[in-house]
Amino acid sequence: MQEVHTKIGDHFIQIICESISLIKMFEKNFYSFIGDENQQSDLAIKIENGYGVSFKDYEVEIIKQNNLIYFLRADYLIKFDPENKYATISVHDELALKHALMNLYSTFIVNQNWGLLIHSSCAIEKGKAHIFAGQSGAGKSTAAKLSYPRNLLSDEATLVKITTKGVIVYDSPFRSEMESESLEEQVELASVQILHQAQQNTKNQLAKSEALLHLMDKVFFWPHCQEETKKIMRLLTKLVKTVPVYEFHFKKDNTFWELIS
Amino acid sequence: MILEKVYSRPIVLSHQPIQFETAQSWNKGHGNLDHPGKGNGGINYPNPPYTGPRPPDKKKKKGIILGG
Amino acid sequence: MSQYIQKGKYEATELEGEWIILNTEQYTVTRLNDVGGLCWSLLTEVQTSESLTRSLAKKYSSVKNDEQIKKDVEEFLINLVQCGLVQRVD
Repeated sequence: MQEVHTKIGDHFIQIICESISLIKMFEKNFYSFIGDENQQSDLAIKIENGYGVSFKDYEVEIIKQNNLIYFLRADYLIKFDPENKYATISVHDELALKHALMNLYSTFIVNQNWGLLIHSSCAIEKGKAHIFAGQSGAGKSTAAKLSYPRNLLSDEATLVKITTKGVIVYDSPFRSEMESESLEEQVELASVQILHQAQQNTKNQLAKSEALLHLMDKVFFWPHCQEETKKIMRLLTKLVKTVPVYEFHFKKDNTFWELIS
Repeated sequence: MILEKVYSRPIVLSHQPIQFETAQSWNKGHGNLDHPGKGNGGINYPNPPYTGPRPPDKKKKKGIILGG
Repeated sequence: MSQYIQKGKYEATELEGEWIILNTEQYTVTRLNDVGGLCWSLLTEVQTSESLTRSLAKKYSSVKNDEQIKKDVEEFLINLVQCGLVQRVD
């Protein structure tokens, strides 16, 4: 039995796994260290392989039973005990593990009222973080690529901690193409852009209520009860109260950065 | 003097179903759809007889199902 | 005279004079303007279009035409019923 420790956001996570190949995948994608065993973990995850079939579709069945939450996809099964902060993930392969970890972690941070995973990319400019969100094809990853040489905190799922004092973006291990540089950075969020491709670069600040609705469907979440959906709404309310959200029309070159900050 | 708010007729501005994002991306360039068995030291996730957790028995279930 | 009241379970948030009503049973989210939000919050108790009109006319005393308010309120109530946010109690 292998044991690895990792940190996502400011959560210490203990991973227990039998399969060496899955541990290798984990170490490749996540900032991992053979941890200080005395470090109290915020979440413990046991990973097993040999489950189900390879990826079929994104259909996730959710079952609540005896204080446990089950998430079932053709290629993974998550059994999460929120009270004891313990989960078992059974997967078919590497992709299933990556997606299941995201499913579990988003459930965990909403449950803790800590923050959200938002479908977007995020780059750092002058010590502040800027999020680029949008419908698929709107240019999230283009914006990320065109942000070079700025550091990226995410290229697919931005990890935000939401408090009444402000919103902090953490380096996201949930990556699509650009690998994390394992930045141990925590950067204050200064703006959110809802992207649209256009001939000209323009931005308009959205009313807070509209901003909230624009962000809601970009939150990675698999709803399992009404209370958790309310938590998301409260977290997003805090976010739009502290951070401006813009409707952002941009053309596909790096001149759009002139409109930011 | 307190300025009285101006009346405007009550309106439903928008009404829509709640949706969240549930589709993650593939690892482009590191995809797993057609796994050639490389990159993991040749171990292509052999599947030994599975003895791990199973989903709860649905017939006996009293829990709530959402989505799915 | 039809009577109306909120229906189901909600989480409501006011942001810069607009209201967002999250209906956690039907899984919908509805955005209302300022006056709409006021009517909505009054509908925690049974209301009629008359009682809502009286409340609005009192708050916006510069509006002289109560008939217009009543028309607006009736239309709004129909919309709220369609959105599944209020129900008639007969």
